[in-house]
Amino acid sequence: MNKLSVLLLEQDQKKGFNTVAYNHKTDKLMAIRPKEYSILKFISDSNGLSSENIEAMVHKLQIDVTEAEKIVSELIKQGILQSCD
Amino acid sequence: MIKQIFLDSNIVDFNFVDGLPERSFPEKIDYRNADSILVGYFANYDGLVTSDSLSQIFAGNNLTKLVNSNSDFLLFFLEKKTNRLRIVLDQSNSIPCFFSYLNGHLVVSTQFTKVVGEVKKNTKLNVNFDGLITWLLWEWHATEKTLFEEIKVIPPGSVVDIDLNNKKLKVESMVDLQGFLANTGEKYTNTVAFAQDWKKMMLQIVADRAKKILDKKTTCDLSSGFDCTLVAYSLHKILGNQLTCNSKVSDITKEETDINIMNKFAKLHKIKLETVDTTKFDQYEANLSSDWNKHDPFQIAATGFENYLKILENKGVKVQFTGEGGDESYSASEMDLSETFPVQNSYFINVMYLKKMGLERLFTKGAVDFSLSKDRFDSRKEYPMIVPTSSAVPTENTFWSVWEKDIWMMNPFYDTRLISLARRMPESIKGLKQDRKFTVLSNLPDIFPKDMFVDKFGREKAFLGFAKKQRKFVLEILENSALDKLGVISKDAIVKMVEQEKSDLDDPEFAIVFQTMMQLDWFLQKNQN
Repeated sequence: MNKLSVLLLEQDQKKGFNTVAYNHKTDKLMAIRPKEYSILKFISDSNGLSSENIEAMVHKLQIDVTEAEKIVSELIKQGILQSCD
Repeated sequence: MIKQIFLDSNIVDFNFVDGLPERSFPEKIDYRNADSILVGYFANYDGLVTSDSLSQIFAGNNLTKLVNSNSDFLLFFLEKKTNRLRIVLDQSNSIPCFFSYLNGHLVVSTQFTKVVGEVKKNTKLNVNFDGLITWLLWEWHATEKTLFEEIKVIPPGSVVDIDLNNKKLKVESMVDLQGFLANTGEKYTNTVAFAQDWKKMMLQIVADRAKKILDKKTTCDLSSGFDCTLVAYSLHKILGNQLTCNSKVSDITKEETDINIMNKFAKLHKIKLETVDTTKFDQYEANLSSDWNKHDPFQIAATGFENYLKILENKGVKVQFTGEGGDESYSASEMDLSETFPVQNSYFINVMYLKKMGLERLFTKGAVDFSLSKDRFDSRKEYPMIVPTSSAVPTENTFWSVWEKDIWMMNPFYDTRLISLARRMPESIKGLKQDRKFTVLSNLPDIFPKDMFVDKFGREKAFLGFAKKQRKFVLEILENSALDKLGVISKDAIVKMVEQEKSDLDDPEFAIVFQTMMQLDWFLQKNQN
């Protein structure tokens, strides 16, 4: 996770896990909805996402694999997540 | 006459026996009955609240209505039976108020250092690192924190609710940001229509304020920029020849205040203009080691602004209209996310300053790590703002000096009716980012001459001379550096920068932070017991 683009806080719970991220490519704030939030939180807690733990994430978050991949790919495009490739 | 509000429970009880200091504007409030006491200062501009209704508003606990109106106020309401004191500040931070409540000892003042002076008699002052980094980076946000743990400030639009019997205190925001955001009307599609309504709205807002001060000597701050000129144009429509505008000019910051443009504007609208040359303050020729005041971390006495204020005071000026908040108003269409998530937004501003602009080079690694840490931002309470934060909050550092001279700064761009209209800006302008203001105002050629449409800069350049001209004094400060002892800066690294012919300090953004750093370091050396 690009720590300069998103900061997950304890107080996010009060706002139903809605927050904002900063897209450094467009220099704009962007909304992070609860589903995106849960993925970011998982990645943050797991120190990254790999082929080994992607299944665990999908299982834990009860989220469709295709949808998860789409969200992750979008977050990478926006620079919120950084790919190690 | 001492004009600052200063209340200390060790000296007086909070029955306000002596009342509050007299001043020309806003109106002083003093209502007393068997059950309660209401004192303070109050002016309303949109007709939603009157001074006569204030006691009822407090009794009915309808503070949301009060705070969300377009009013300037600081009010103290004491319920005698319960010994409950509420202090309420307007949403534009127009009368900043500091306080400390330790072991039942309550100190309240419009001047930070008056509270510092009282608190340090009995207690060791501990630096609040969140407040300290905020101060050094000029990253202003609505908060109750100050430089010291023991001293707080009332966040804009908040109530400080004190149970004097049980020695309990809570701070709560009354600003209805979500209600405001939800009530944005339809967006304009026509730029000309928007520009015309922008002008009309400003005329209305200035008129609403002007009618409150018709018997006071009033001026308008003027620069070559669009914000104060729009205010000056509107005020001149009401006051006519009674109005004389005033301006600070400096050879160092000609891009901020171009005298030729100002003269042309004034001539076009037949507005009288008087200027004050503040160049010498921007040249740092004076001996600052004797000019600096150990009670003021902002060192306002050694600035051109203070000199300008004194001249206004000598002229008998009681009210100055300003263009403060003008820049921000053109970004109001984008405030939804930044204001709904002010803590996160503040984090991203810290990232920008420290990482993108490279200001981290002025700090130790430990200070940078703390500045961007989760703990720092998780410790923040949220105080939403509708009024532009970056304009309304910083004034709390210089306010006391303006207040002391019985001058009132009138800021029409803080009016939420204008901010609401700004949010309805056509999409075609919204996408222009930096050029929004030019695009809107180019539709008002009767007000703004073509020459005004040039890039304008701030006062950044005025800070460049400090490190070189005051090198001896700076090295003395660094010798005993309090910030080094706190682990915020590395004394040796900063000394090296100061002694180099060329360094980061030649960059205006670094120069601003560096001067702030030296002022604060010196203040801490003089004030930490």
